[in-house]
Amino acid sequence: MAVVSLIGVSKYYKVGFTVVKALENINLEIKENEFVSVLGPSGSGKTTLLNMIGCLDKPTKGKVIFKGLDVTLLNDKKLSEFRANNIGFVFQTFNLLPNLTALENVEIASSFSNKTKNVRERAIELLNLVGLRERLFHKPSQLSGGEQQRVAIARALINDPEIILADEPTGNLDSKTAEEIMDLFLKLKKMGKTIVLVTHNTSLATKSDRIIYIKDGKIINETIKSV
Amino acid sequence: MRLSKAFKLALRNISRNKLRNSFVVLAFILAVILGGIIIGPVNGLKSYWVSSINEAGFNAIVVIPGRAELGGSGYSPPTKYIKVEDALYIKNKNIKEIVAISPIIIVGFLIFGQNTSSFMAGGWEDLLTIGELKLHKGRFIEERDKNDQEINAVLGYNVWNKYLGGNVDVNQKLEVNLILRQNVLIKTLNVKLKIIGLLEKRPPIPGTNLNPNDAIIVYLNQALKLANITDVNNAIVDNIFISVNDFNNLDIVSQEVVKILEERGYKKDIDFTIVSQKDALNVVDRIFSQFNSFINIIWAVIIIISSLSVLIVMVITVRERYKEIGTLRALGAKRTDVLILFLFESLILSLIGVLIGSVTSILVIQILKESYEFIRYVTMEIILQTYSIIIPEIILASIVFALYPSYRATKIEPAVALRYE
Ligand SMILES: Nc1ncnc2c1ncn2[C@@H]1O[C@H](COP(=O)(O)OP(=O)(O)O)[C@@H](O)[C@H]1O
Ligand SMILES: [Mg+2]
Repeated sequence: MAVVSLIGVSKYYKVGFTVVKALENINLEIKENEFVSVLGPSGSGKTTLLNMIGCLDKPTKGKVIFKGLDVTLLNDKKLSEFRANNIGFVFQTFNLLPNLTALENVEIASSFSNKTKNVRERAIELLNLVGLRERLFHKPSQLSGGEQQRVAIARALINDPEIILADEPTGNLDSKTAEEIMDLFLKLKKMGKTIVLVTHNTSLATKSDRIIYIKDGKIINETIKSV
Repeated sequence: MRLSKAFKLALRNISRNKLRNSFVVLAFILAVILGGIIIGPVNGLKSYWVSSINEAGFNAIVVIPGRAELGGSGYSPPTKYIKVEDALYIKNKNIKEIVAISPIIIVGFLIFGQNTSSFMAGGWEDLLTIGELKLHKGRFIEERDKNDQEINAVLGYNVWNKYLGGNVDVNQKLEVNLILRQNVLIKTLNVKLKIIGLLEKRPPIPGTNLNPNDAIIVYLNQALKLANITDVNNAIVDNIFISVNDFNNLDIVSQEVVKILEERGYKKDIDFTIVSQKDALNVVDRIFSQFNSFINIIWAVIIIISSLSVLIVMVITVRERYKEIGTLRALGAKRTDVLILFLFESLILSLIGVLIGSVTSILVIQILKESYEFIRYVTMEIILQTYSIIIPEIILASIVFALYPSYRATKIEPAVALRYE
């Protein structure tokens, strides 16, 4: 069963008098509990692709069907609610709120969704899961890069989303920490999560179920891990 | 996002830019202080004037010789002076709305130690009714006093209680130096008075600078005798006071008196001016409505300046949190959540400022009371009344001005903002 399907999705940006084709006729299906890596050079359209899957932006052409629902038809308000309840984002630069503790950073994401019960307990549980049991009340400035990214992953999980979208989550981390974060994603996959991971790191990507190669806004290759 | 959550988050965000935000808070503190010390005293002064005019219970009209502009400083002397006989003439007309009438002549001033504000006034027995004077002891002047060998005097509250130290009594003799008020020459006269009555304290009579508490009142004829004037009927009066039975009859009686005086060859607004409590209230109203519109302009400027500080600071804050707004939107925050978040943030800043400002303003007013007499009339009630107007206004203005940056924040596209480094 597909979590999300992109059907003929294109995304164009108008820059001055020229049109930048960030994505061109993408057809893609992401299945439940699948761990997909997206590889490609800088500017190839990886982030744009993730934004389409994550309902953060609407395609110029094509449809995004999320669990049977055409999300391109939703208005901004409905789309926000949809993101809150179904999508977990992880960013390269962690994007934690600097004045909130690790725990509060995780909790805050629940205030936009309809999963508002036992937030504190679940947040603590998740920080436990990502290995930050001892860092609940630390501010982002008191955490290392790897720890901040773990908080961000816990935050992405608080609403128990259908899919986790990570845009170069290890891009700002050293290789050892990057491995640890990758291991964490693999652990989540084992727990039944669906994950799309954008990365530059080929060796990390090989650990996922499927690698999508993207260039100039088009999928140029796809490899599926032989089990 | 629930409002309570948004409020909490806004509160947390404020502590991120303490210096910048404290400017906004300061702007609101100053606004409330300025509002308090400008608008408060104006309201205080007005309510003091109105209440003292009413409280004086002065259902009276005053005939002033010459042309006097009430509430202004203009005065020109008459061409023909009003005399005691005119007062007598009005009295003998027996106008039914008139309950009391008396001319008043200030024959001179008295010095008790350092104090020079005491004066000797000659008048008739009706002064008791007109001035709503109350006797603490003894009796008031009466017509029979005019032929008495002794000079029978009634002492105002300050005179007997303060200037004479309180150790005087009825029937006691009092020797004073009276500085006669004559046109050119200043002559001091040693006079012996017999105290016949002591007055209770009473508020000053508005519209005149006569403070009955500072008066020594003697019967008109006796007062004039001290000044060597024997032709009482032809003596020039300082004022004629006329008490009217009802506030609503002030106009009728005024017109009647004008008619009588004109018949007797005086020209209104040249030889005499008539002033009533109604005029006094009208003048207070006129002055204050002018003053109010002037102050409202100043107040509007103050509000706009303080609200501009919110606008500017919030514009900077929104720009600074550009990426953060993108993150919140990615996490599912709606445009309205973003709007509320920034509106709350502005609101909290202005509320903190208003809160501190309100308390400070009260303190500042207390301190200013030491040096500025007119601020003494700014009671706590007036301060609170002033706050009930200015605080909602200032908060409303801050919200209106915060709408622009907050609205701009809602227009941030998450996909674009997240790209921002
Ligand atoms: N908002 C935008 N306006 C104009 N061009 C954009 C915008 N967003 C992305 N692009 C362009 O689209 C292309 C794909 O960008 P992106 O998806 O960020 O690539 P990647 O994530 O693979 O580096 C790039 O050429 C980029 O410059
Ligand atoms: Mg990218």
